[in-house]
Amino acid sequence: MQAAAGMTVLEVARQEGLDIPTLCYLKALGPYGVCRLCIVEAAGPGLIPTILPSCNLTISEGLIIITDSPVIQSMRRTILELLLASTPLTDPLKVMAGNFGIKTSRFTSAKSDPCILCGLCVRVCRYKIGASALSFASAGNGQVIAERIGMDPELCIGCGTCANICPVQAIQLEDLEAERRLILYGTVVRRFDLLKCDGCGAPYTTREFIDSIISRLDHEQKCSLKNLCCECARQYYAEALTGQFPSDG
Amino acid sequence: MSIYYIYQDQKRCIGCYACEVHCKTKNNLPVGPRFCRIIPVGPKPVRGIPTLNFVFMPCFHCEKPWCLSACPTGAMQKRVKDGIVFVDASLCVGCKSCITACPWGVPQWDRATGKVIKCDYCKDRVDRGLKPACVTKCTAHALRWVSPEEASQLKRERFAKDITGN
Repeated sequence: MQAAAGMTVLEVARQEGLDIPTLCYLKALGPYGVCRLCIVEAAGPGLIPTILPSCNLTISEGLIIITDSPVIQSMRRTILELLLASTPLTDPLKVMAGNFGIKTSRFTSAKSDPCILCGLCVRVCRYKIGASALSFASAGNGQVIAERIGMDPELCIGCGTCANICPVQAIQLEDLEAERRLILYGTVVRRFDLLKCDGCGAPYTTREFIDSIISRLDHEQKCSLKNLCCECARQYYAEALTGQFPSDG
Repeated sequence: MSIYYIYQDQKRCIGCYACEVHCKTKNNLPVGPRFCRIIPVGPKPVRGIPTLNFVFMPCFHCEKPWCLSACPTGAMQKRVKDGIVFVDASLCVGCKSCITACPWGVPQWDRATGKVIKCDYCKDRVDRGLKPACVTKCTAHALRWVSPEEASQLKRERFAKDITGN
């Protein structure tokens, strides 16, 4: 098989349509290698036959990869069962467990939260959103995701990307009327006042989130931003295009 | 902007929503998100006559797209060869920056995948030499798949017809 230099085994496998399960890998965030579900058997020149996570393994000439074997299947089953022991059966774990025919876990866990420490929330908040509001706290079995405190208590911008990509719903976003709540491990850790759409009055996003977006726009783009939800934005410009500007102008 | 433009002759549009229906069918969209929209404006009196306009609102595929500037992951992209703005789903983390930044409310939310989806002018069809689904199935031939230059020409012709009462 041939592929571009620098690609990882996982990327090549996906390109070729081979299914390798992952939980902590997102193309936008790059490899992290903590969920261990993407393990493959690897051998080749200068490499003792071994089992490695494919997300972290860069391809090289003569590399031999087995993505599916009884050994790999057995190890992935164990990893999944360990994960399921500490987290509820939600998507996408549910789908994976179904693929492996796992109904219950042989293991039990003393953990009280559903977090599997995949780190997606921490990484997306730090490296993509640029807010760095989440981080890991403590170590070993006691490790948890925590709000980053100390530097600036207002780091979170309430975008909710962490809640969106959390595979086990350990972080949740709740919009109640004019308030947005960020819920981490079942506890409300941040409250935001939601801005109201100038058109329909419906709450739609946070001031902090808009400010963060504005920082990525140029002057001309900034000037044309209006406090409108998607629906009202379309309505506003449709009226503008017919030469009949909305009455609230 | 893109080398393509969807021109809508509002005088021909009957508000049948066939463009929206065929867009949703072609792009296999779930309940909720709509890539193109027909927005009814009015009825408002124009020269004493109540007038209802149907405005076609697809993505405008801007020259300098707000969505692209706002996207923190590089998921929102613009094709070099023709300027079509589209989402690479594998890079989208669902932060909704593009949704918030777009002044026209174009990017749409797919609840099932937790990602953004949007009008890409049916680029797979365009690459096969076809027109977008909305244009192809417009029942009144109000939508035209043209270049921006042709669009301004069409608009002038429409205006000239209007003022001479043709």
